[in-house]
Amino acid sequence: MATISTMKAANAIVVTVTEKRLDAKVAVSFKDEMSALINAGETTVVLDLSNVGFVDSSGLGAIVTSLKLIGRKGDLLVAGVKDDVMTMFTLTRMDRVFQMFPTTEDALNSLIAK
Amino acid sequence: MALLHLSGEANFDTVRLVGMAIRAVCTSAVSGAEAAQIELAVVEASNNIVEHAYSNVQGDIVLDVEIGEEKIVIALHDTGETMPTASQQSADLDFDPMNLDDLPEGGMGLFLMTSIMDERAYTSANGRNTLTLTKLLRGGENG
Repeated sequence: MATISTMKAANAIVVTVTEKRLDAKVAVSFKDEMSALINAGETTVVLDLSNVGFVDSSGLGAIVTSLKLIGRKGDLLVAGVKDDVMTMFTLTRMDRVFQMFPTTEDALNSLIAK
Repeated sequence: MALLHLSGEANFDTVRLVGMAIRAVCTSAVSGAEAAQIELAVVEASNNIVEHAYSNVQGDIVLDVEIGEEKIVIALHDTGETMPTASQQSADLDFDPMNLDDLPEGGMGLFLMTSIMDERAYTSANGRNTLTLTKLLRGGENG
């Protein structure tokens, strides 16, 4: 079963994680699905985590892997992070690595502003 | 003091249930945000048991949870491979957020456990490994 759903926007692809938990059970599937998108040329990604209530280190690691795969070819913006999940980003200082936005709209608007 | 005993076959489905159960019971003693962090610490510890202790064999994950006035103590037991001694592991998470190549894709579990919990102890005896995670509660405060 897919862990994500996608929607094309003008200048990015919005990837919505459909799982409530981005954890060790689904991290490998998620990473593979993200890699397939990125390798197909989708290098500006808005990752919508608004459905996600829990992220463990394997889930976070899979997001980092996606960012590394995009590299300098594009951008990975993170949107809709719930408070409990934000703690994971701040504890690991990943909030300083990713551009984070309250909503996917905010993330897409930031791309237009560039 | 409240005591709870949980056990199940060590796999990632069980880890999910363990995490949700731990979060729920901890909300009786700490805030929802703190309970979510304790869930994270316990899930990281449980993932290690599934991935490392039982990498080659099947086994059970067993938890003893103690919710006291002054602390929450969660002991995780397994009968799999014993972890390397603490001195060989790193609880640090040092990287340059500006350097893409430097970002960690794994190995954050121990760091998270030690960041979230106040004490962490690992012992092994008679084929049974026990990781004890302790969260101290602020005395005199309700929640």
